[in-house]
Amino acid sequence: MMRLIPETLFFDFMARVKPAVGVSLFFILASIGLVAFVGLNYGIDFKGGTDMILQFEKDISAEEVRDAAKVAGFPDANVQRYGTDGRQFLVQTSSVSVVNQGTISKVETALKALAPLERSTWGEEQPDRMDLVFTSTVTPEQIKAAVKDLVGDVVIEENNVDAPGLKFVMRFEDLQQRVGENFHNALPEAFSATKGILRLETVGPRVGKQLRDSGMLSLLVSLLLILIYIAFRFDVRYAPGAVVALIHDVVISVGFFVVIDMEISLPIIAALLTIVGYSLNDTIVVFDRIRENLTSDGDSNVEHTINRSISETLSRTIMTSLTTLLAVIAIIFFGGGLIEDFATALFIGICVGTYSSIFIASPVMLFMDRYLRTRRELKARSQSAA
Amino acid sequence: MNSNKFRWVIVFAAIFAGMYGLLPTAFDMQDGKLDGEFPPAESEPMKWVEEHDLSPLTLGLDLQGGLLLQYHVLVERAVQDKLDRMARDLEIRVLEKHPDVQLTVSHKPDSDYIEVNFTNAADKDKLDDDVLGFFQSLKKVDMQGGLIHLVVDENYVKETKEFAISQGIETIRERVDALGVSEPSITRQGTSDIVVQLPGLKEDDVDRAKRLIGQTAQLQFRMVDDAGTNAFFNQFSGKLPEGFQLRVIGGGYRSVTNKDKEPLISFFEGKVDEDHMVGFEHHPVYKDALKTELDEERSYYKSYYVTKKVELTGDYVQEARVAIDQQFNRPYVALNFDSKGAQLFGDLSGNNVGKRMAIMLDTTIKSAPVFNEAIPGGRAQITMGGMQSYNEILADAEDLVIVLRHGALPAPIEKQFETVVGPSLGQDSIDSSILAFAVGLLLVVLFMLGYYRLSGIYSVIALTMNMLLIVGALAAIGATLTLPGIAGIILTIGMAVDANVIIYERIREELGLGRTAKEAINAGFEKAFSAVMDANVTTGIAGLVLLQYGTGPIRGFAVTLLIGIVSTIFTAVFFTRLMFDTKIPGSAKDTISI
Repeated sequence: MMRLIPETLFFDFMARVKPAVGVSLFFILASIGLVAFVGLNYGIDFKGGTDMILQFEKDISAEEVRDAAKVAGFPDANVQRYGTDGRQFLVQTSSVSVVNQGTISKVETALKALAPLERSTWGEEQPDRMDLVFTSTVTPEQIKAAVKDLVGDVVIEENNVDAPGLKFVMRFEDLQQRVGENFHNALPEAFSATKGILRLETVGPRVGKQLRDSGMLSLLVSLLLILIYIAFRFDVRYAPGAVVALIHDVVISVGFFVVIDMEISLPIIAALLTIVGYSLNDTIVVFDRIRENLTSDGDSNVEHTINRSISETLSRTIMTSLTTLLAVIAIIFFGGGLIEDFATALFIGICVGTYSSIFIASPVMLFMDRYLRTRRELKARSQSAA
Repeated sequence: MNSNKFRWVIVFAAIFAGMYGLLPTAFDMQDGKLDGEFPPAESEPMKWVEEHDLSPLTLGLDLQGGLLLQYHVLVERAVQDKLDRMARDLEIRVLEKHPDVQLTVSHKPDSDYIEVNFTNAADKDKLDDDVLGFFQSLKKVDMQGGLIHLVVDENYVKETKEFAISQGIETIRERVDALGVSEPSITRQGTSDIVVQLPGLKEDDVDRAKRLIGQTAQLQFRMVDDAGTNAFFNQFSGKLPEGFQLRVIGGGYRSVTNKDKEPLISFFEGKVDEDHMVGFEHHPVYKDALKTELDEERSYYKSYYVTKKVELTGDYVQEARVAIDQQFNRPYVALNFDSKGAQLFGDLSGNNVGKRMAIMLDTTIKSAPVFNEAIPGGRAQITMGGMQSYNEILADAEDLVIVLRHGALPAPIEKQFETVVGPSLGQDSIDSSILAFAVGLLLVVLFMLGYYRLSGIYSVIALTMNMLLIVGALAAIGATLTLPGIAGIILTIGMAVDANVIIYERIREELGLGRTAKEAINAGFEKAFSAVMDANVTTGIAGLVLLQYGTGPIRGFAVTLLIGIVSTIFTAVFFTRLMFDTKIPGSAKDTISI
């Protein structure tokens, strides 16, 4: 029989709680500090913008791609190599359309030179259209020519039931088309306008905040539901331990995300939720055993019972995490770029979760047990005194 | 051992169900591609699958390439814009009647009312029912002094919002049909979002698709070319393909009809001159005299020969509501235009008495009433079709009112997400995730066999069945396999054996206490069960929250995680136990390799 942990192991975990809590506190404070002072690297899911994965036909340096991005109209682009074949690049920009407030002002100036402009409306909600009202008539061709150099080709729709030649809707070129054409123009031999864009993802700027809020809310909701479940399945002594351990796991995992500069995207929130659900598995195995042993041992020496329970379940705590980590590692190394971050987040969370089920959840349970016991005794004493 | 037999029956039933769920997928895969298209049916089971219209597992956009768009319908913005316009129009109307009155009409941003402030409080009654008749969606609330608030009706906003979304979905669907994507999906998400998924969309079409979808359908009033109608449709007499018919519709006019709209659209393509277009109206036919049950087979779409010029747009519509004609007790639609619209409409009706006007959204005609007389003043009545019951007229009138109101309140749509995935990246993702799956499975299998020997084999068998059930269930419920979904399956490999580990470790412990193999197995499974259950329930809670919160591909992860939990409890607990019970029936001499 192969054994990871000797069968007869008994280890006084509770005696090591103080240093363990110290270590955890250090990590938690460090995480909070990192989030506060370094900040999370939010992906476009949460701050809006465009991510694109571009495939080049020839070997090319990140510097060349960056220059091409500048020419293409994305001066803020963040370029990094992507995938394994060396010719793919991830380009990230905060643009969500081919125009921004700056270009719009220039467009307005150009149009005012053409004819008196009574009103022009453009908003970030619909960045691909601009509504125009002139006070003297113009033709769509004139408008197209006036803005050509600024924003490329536009489509003009007349909105002219009562005002022919006065009201127009101007539609800008699509961002994707712009990317294809401009990268091709900048690097004609290395980039194909039709086949070069492997993936393009745009998230509107106002959506990001909503997603951040609802992501946070979903984490809180699941913590709360789990707290209720544990309180219901075990008893009040156990629930706080489980939840403190979960918060511990989430906070420290997020701290690690800052350290490795992981981009926070929707899948990462999904990973955090999974960590919340999963890191509880180990805690539950230990709690289940504590409950069982307390029934046989009685409440006389809870600390000893906890130590015994953790020791008895130690091999499965480690084994279960190990098997899951094997699967996660397979994703990290072979799953490809898009889910690599997701799996990395899970890896970190599972490791932290395994540690916390031993050194955080049980001590809090012990603390709660003592606290409740003292309160009961105090109450009993005050009653008997009365 | 009767109970064992019964349990084996359950296990085989589950295996059968899993394979049944995967049958269409297996056929689809016969040509090496999971593309939703079956190769020609050769065997009986294949024919059977086709006849019963079972669908194979579909690949998400991230795996097969395509376009995903999510739009938010900005109804609030539309309401605010409308209130701004109403405030301007209200001032004009009061001043038209009472040029001497001094008042300010304003609408504060983000408020749901218009503020009317009379300098002289005694003038308050100048805002009388005659003026307010143009603004039926506003409720008058008297404030102190010369102040009046006109509050917009909540139901009006709610109905418009509902319509904006359902109409948005319908419009997008029609436009997408024109693109010829094989399995487009246009769904509503949450209260006011529309998600459009166009898997397998050709890269050249992406730009066109986005342009088509992104436009809001605008309500337009055009004139039907009554004089040219019969000549136009008669030219197709005897030349119509199967499924098309030349009919005479109301008013003695000709029309080409078809059961569906799409064939009509493609039929008329290129057959209409520059000044005209063809619009389509649905003509319902009912199965019974009471007209409760629609006869889908006999209902059809009829076409109208329409002058292309837009005479009026929904922007000029102030208000529409259902009213009842007291004399004949018939519902009709009362339509009010704003001051500018009233002029245009007055001229239009005056020049076209006796002719049909088409009220259109894109190419759909919502109603084609006839001008009986010139209508000055901006208040029109639209009476509904002839031989109908009261309730039917009422329903028709209500439908039209919603269309008109929406035209008066066109809600712009805001693009929230957009994802374009090229087909080559999709294939790369499939390849790499299959590799990750294989490696993950191999690692876990080796680990379990090495550590638990023969009992490890049981886990591996259970794990194999687990995978079969997960994928079979995904196919059966018509779920879409996404990249995070595959990650969920791989993760399940690791988590599924956790249950076995917990149980096996317990059995080892029980053996250590000197129990026989049989006793240890029983004790191991029973004592470990609560821990296994709790662990899976908590992961399940997280999965449910994720399903509620997640969008797009993330939901795929949540779904596989949840299915994985159920099938894990079945395979790792129920099925594994059955294998132990069958192998080690319970004599004291039995040994166990664990």
